[in-house]
Amino acid sequence: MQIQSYQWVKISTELGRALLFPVLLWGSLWLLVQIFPRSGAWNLNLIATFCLPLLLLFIVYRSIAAIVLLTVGQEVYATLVQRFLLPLFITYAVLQFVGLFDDISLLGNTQLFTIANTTVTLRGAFVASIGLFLWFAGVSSLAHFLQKVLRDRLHTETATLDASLILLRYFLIALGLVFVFSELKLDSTAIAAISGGLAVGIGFGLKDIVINFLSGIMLLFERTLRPGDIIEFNNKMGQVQEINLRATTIKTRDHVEIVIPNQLFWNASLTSYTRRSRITRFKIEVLVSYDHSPETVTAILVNAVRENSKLSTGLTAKVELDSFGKEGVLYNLKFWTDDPFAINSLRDKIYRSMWKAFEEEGIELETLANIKIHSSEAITQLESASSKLHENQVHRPVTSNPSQPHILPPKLTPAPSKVPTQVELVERSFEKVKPRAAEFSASFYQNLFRSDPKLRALFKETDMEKQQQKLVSALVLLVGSVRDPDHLVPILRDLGAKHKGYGVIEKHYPAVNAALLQTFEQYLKDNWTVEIQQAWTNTFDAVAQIMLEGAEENF
Amino acid sequence: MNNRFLLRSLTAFLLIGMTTLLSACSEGSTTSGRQTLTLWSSYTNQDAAILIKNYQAVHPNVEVIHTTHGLLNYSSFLKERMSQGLGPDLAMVPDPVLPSMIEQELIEDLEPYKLDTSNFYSKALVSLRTEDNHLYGVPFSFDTMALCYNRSKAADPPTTLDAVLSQADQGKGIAIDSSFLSSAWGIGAMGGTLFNSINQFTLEEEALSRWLSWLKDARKTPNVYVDYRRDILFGLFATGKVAYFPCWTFEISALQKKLGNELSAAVLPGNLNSAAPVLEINSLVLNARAATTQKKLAVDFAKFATRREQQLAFQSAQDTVVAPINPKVLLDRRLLSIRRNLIEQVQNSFLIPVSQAKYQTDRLIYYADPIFIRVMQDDISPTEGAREFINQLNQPVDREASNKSVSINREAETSKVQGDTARKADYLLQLIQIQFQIFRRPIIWLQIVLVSVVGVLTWLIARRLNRFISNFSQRFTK
Repeated sequence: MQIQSYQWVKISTELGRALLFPVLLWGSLWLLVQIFPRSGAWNLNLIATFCLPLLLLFIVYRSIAAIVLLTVGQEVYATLVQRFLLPLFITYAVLQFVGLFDDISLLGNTQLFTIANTTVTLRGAFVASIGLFLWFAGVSSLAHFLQKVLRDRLHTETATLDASLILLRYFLIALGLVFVFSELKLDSTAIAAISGGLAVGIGFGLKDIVINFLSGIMLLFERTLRPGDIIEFNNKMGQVQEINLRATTIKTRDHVEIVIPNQLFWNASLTSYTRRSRITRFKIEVLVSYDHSPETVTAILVNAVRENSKLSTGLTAKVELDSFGKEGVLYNLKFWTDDPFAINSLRDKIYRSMWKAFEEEGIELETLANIKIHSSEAITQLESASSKLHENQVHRPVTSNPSQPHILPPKLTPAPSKVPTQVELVERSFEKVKPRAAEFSASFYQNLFRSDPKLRALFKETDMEKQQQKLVSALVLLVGSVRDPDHLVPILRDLGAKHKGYGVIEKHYPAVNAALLQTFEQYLKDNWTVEIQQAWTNTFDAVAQIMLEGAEENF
Repeated sequence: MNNRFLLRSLTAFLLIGMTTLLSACSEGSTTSGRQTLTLWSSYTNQDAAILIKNYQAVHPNVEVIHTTHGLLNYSSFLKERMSQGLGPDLAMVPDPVLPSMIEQELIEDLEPYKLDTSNFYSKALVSLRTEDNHLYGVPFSFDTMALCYNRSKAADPPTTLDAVLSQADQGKGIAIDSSFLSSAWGIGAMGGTLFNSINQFTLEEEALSRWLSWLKDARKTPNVYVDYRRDILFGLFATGKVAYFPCWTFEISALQKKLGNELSAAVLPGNLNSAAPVLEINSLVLNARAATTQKKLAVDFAKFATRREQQLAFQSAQDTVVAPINPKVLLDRRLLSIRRNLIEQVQNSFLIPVSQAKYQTDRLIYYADPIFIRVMQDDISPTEGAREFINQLNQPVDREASNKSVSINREAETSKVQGDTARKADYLLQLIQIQFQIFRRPIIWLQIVLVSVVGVLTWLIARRLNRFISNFSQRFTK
């Protein structure tokens, strides 16, 4: 209530600041007009018929500006109001002012000069300069406004939205240019002559620009690249900031912006980590001597991932024994992340955890591990004849590891950790809920439908009692197998594929997870700690991820 | 959104205001001894330049800036600007516009200037004088109707209405506009007259009925087209489908461009009497809001433009065909046959006096046109139509409705004959001069001062109020 009051005070203050002066001025001038005689030598018709309507328009402008500032924010205000509405208002006011002295439509016919058999009129020059500027500003403002509103209010996917808005913007700009050309009434012979000259120019000097332009259009239409995508190009990883018709800007992790001509994307291959899914799998190769049991190494590696990745818990982290070499056993630690752009940070954390764990186990690290990106599901190749070689390079596992970690056999058996692991937290907390499992399940569905009533439609023809029992069974299975990913993962993948068949889509998973967490909180009450919440959050995230993978691959 | 922006805007506004004030204080003074006179008309710049060049040759210290407005919306635009205290010092307007301008006190009463009116046809002043005999316009030219004909189709134009029908039978067709103003010439031909010599309304039901009957019956004759859609009739004549077309003087230039030397004009055919078309006076009116020196200059220019030699010079205008207002202007029939015939037609034309509100052009058109259409559509008989028209005219004036009607009518009428209104680039510089000229008017700088003062005071008050609101809201939020 207090917050609402504060908002109202803020809105009133802002509106007062914006409107007080023009409204007072309008009122005062209106009174003046009423006081003076309506006709005769000393009437104030100019104020009545010019100033007052213009002031009214100014009040409307200020109102819009204040509303935009209050509702959509400073960024949209800067583009929509300052770059578009203000120049538009000023232009209108100037035209109205000039119109006082001459018929503005006739004044537009004023012949300025003749070029290539075409007489350029004042209207043509105005449309081609100020008109075009206002059109561009308007289109740009509209794009910004739509971007902000659609993203914030409708939660539309950023990349798709950005690409659509870029296309809309260029379409409208092209429309504006066509209108300008038609308004200029260029002589067709002159256009043919200019086009002929340009064609030669395009053939030589402007070739690259045209190719870049066409490549930009193709990129936007094919949607192979969208703003927000994380890509690797020429061994540089970055996030696509904007795709313009000539070039694409990517921002690296070091906040360096690289402008890449579009034709390079067209002629070469790039690696995309986010095209179909943001989930990417990475691999760390670890060389350990034969003195250590694979179980110990696996536990250390999986724990290292579990401790540091929100998404990649033990369920998604996997250790594979790759090969037996002269110097030791080669293990592959595979783990998933939904933020490939931050892989360096994640890798750093995993390395530190591994190092610490190896030290605790008495394993000495003599060299650094090697990390390789390897995620066929997430990588997108823009294929071309010239890119085959590069493609092979990207996919081929690097075999020469110059600095493989050399891990000595553990001198001590792993000591049990005093702090409970996330798996233990999950197991223990579930034990407390288990006696009231049926009740828990019913509450879960209540919470779910309350948070998203549309989901009821998915259970329209379902026997809810049976469904509640199924949920309990699934939770029991999950918690029971949480230490055995090899057993659990295939089941979850299969479950994901089946759920897709029931109409469950990606955006439903967060709602389900949130409802589960809410229900756990309800039932665990004081036992619901931050640590337990984190453990369940990670678990459900991982379950959701594996089910989604299953849905994508097997359905 | 911020106060700095507003402060800057206000300062700029005040500066402009003060500059204008300073320039206004020097009212009547001229820049390096030169004076500027602004003139609006529907004539093309090329035609107006004939008079302007001549005037500037005699008055080298005066620059006359002419702005052409064509025919479309000119009158309404002029009235709107004049009512705002803007507009030109001098404007050329057709006399039907005068009553409303006089009523709104937009134009200057010319009595104090004691004009010598002996150089004008006496009928030229009828529609420019009010009931109290005050003159509001300096007559410049006549616009009337004549029988335009295509010389390649007809060499001997008919002088009677019967001859019109017999020639039509022979394939020399005619296109007659049945709307009131464009067909009023037939009332005279049928022995009627709308106004007598002392400007009293004298239209007889019988004469009007006869004319409507003739129009109705004429449609049955082959090659006679009677319709109220003037643009269609104009097209029929311009494309050579008919030989005759009762045309307005302002249409002759457009027709000449279509038919070239084949176009000629004769006096309209009569019957019981000579045909008497409506006569419109193009007059020069003074903007009542113009500065005193400008008014004097404008009167001087108006006097100059109506002098015999200038009237004669204007007959060589390319885009304008009008009959001269000065009876001493003699035209050689061999060189200027169309214009010579127009002068003849002027003798047999009638004026709608400005003094009688009941019978002003707008009102006549408003009531007559729908009735004429109903008669032509056989909804009512010509006698009923004539009676209804006269009865309606005698009803109280419904000014608002009639004004609306005439503006629509005029637009449709003039859309095909719009002159070249394009301006040259140097006009943009002249526009600045026009603005300075207008800013010198007392009514304008009074308004600028008022807006500036009120603006500053309001801004100061608004600033204080904003501070108060801001402090108040801060306390509230704390």
